[in-house]
Amino acid sequence: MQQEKFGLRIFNLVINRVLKKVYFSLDEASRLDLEKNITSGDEKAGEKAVKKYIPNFEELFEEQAKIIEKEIKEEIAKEI
Amino acid sequence: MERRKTEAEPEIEAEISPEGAVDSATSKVEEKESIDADESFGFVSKTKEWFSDKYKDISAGVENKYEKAKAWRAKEIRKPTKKGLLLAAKDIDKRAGRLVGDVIGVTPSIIFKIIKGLYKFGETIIKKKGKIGFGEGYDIGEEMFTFGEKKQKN
Repeated sequence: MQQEKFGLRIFNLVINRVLKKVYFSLDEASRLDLEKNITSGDEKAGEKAVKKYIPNFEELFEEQAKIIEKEIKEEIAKEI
Repeated sequence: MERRKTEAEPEIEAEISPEGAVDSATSKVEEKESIDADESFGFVSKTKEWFSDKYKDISAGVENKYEKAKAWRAKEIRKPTKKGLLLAAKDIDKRAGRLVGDVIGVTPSIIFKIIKGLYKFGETIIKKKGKIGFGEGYDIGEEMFTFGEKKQKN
């Protein structure tokens, strides 16, 4: 359970960074369309929009995950 | 001449655990993240929940899929064809995630590897009492991220 909670914390950090990158890579109309589909409650529409506007999601996620991991390690190194 | 330990020292040492160090360091990164909010904040807040909910839903299912992917690879490895071997060499963590059939299906395995990497880093750095080069620490994490690719290349 603890591990699950911690996993979610890390996920939230990574997804924050991913979505920031997505925000700055899209134009206003695309951002609004993605947001509209994701928050519509229609699972399929959300999935479709993510595939359309974030086709490199996996790559982006891995890239940002590595950055977050590096930052946490730097903090650990400072504390010990 | 060896310095005598005070009575308080063993208690201080006992307080530092890899989990504690990782938790505290993660909190610091989270704090920085909330301070660094920019114009994307509204968009990120609104869309993040969808991803977080999906992550919670699929992370439990991945473990089961992971076992299935391992069994699949074991079966493919026994095939004496080039295609069979190539398929078997593919990363099972990613495959397990994709088998969940979701756009973010691969994320739980990535998160799991980060956690393993962080705990291993925390454990190593505590053992070495902070005397660990960043390169060495990063290597520990990188190893967790290669998804077996590094071993295949060598």
